[in-house]
Amino acid sequence: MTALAVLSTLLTAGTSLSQISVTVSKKYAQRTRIAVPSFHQKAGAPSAELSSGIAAQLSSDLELSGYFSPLKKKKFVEETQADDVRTGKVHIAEWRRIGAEMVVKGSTSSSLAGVTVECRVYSTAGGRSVFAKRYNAPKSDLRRLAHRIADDIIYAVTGEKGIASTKIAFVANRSGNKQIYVMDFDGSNARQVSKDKSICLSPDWSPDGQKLVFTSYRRSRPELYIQHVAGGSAKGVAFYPGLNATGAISPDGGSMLLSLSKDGNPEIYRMNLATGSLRRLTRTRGAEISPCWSPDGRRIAFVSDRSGSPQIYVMDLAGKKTRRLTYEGGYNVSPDWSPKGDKIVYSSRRGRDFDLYVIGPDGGASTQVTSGSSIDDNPSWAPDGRHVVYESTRKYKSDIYIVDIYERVPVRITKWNFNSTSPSWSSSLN
Amino acid sequence: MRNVVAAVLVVLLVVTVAGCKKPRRGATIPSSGPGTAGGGWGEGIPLSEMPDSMIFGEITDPEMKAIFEDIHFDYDDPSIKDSERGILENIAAWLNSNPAVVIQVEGHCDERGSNEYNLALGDRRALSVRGYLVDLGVGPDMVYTISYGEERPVDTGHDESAWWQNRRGHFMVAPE
Repeated sequence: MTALAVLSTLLTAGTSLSQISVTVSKKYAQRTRIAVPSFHQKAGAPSAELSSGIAAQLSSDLELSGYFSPLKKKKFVEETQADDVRTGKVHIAEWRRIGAEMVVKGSTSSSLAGVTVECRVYSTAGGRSVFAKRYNAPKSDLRRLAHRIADDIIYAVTGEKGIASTKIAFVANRSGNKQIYVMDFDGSNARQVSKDKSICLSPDWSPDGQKLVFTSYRRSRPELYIQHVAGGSAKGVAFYPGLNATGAISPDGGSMLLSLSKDGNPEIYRMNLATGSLRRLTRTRGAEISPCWSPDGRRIAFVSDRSGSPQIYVMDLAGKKTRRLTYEGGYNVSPDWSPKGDKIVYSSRRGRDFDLYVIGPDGGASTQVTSGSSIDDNPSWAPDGRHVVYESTRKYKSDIYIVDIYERVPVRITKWNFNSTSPSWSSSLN
Repeated sequence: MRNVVAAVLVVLLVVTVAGCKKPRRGATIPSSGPGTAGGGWGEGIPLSEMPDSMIFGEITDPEMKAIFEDIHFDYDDPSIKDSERGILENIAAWLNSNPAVVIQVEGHCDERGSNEYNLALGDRRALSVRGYLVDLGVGPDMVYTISYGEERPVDTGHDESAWWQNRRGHFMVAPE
């Protein structure tokens, strides 16, 4: 009784009981086997579907995180959970016996605000609680709540920020025109952001996750617009003669890299977003396109065909010193700089196919991330520096996939029958 | 009558001079891939502001249609092929004798490769065409450019023939 009282005091809304983080040391090599049974539906709880729905979303999020492997023995998991609920105990030995290294115990009950969810995670080695937190959420928002719980568990267990609450912007031709959409990191909840009757391309997030910059032909010419994801209308930011494309907002939000051909050739420029003033960064006979920022904002990477074929280049902004990064392969495009700063992911043509590779920002050997007979392009890092989202075209159909660069098992996240391309992963939103 | 004769003479003279003028930029350089040929260089001809009201449409006039044929490009290459120069010379001659006509060159790519890089490649194709026409005496302000990258194929097939059709410079005209 005393213990329960202490626990319930600790379980006040929004505070985490567990600051004990069990760091998964071999985090890239081995996933923690975790049991995620249906949440216990307490008296007056909204509905059984809600309780099992939260657990299902949580399980999927934990699996996509790369750190956990939820137990597939659904029947055993639910039976063990039923035993626990009936007896009011957590049978650690039983969970361990069915193969779980950790077990998630959740419960739902009704509250004034909608639903109260309590969630605890136990380690089956020793049986201690490694995470406990209570949440309140409106009934309509339980998917988002599950994403939050997943990220909280991942942080408590691994010390790494999760990606379950992040968003992915992309281009889809659902309406017959390519338009900008945003979805959850797992492909759910897709909704249209741009409202054009023209072509929209290359979305890229502002660092605060509030806005997107993209190219639109709404005035019958390629120009750059910035639009709030939450709604409102798109505001033109670059409408020079010729090409205005591939905008990339700086990590501090103050400026934007872009490719413009107003001076007679596609070159990289930097625009001060407050004043609109421009600084030209490249001056070559080739075309320059697809710029991106290093996370400290001091360097940029971009594509240039100054050597005769498209290759990745890195420029130090202070001295404008530029070096070519890629030498393997005759067609290397679409760079994106890891939020941890240590890697650049890009797409490389090898034979007929395009695969993703990563390379250090100072060059050296590249590592292949994707393979197989597909055209993999437009990679974009998740804020965890571990996952990459990209478009993969197979038999002329394009879908969005995510891949853990260490495990290298692509997961398709778009399941509809129209083409989805050019994904961009938001920064951490929580 | 004398004025008309004078005007015809002036037009003839302009056409003759333009016809003799050697293109300076790109066109005379052997094509050896992007970055070495084509009109769009680092120091290209700056583009003119396009009035907001200016909307280009497909060419419908039969005489113009016969002259303003699509020109085609090699894979991953923005430079003007020898085989396409005749078309551009006819177009330049026509524009030089119709100096009030404003056109737009659309640069297009086939579906292969990166759609972002193809935006740049399509732009360079359009700029190559513009540079070639300017070198033949056409006013830079009379030729606007636009890149559609790989976004507007004329042939939605996935073979060499479709790709050839799609790697094109296409001409549009502003209504007078």
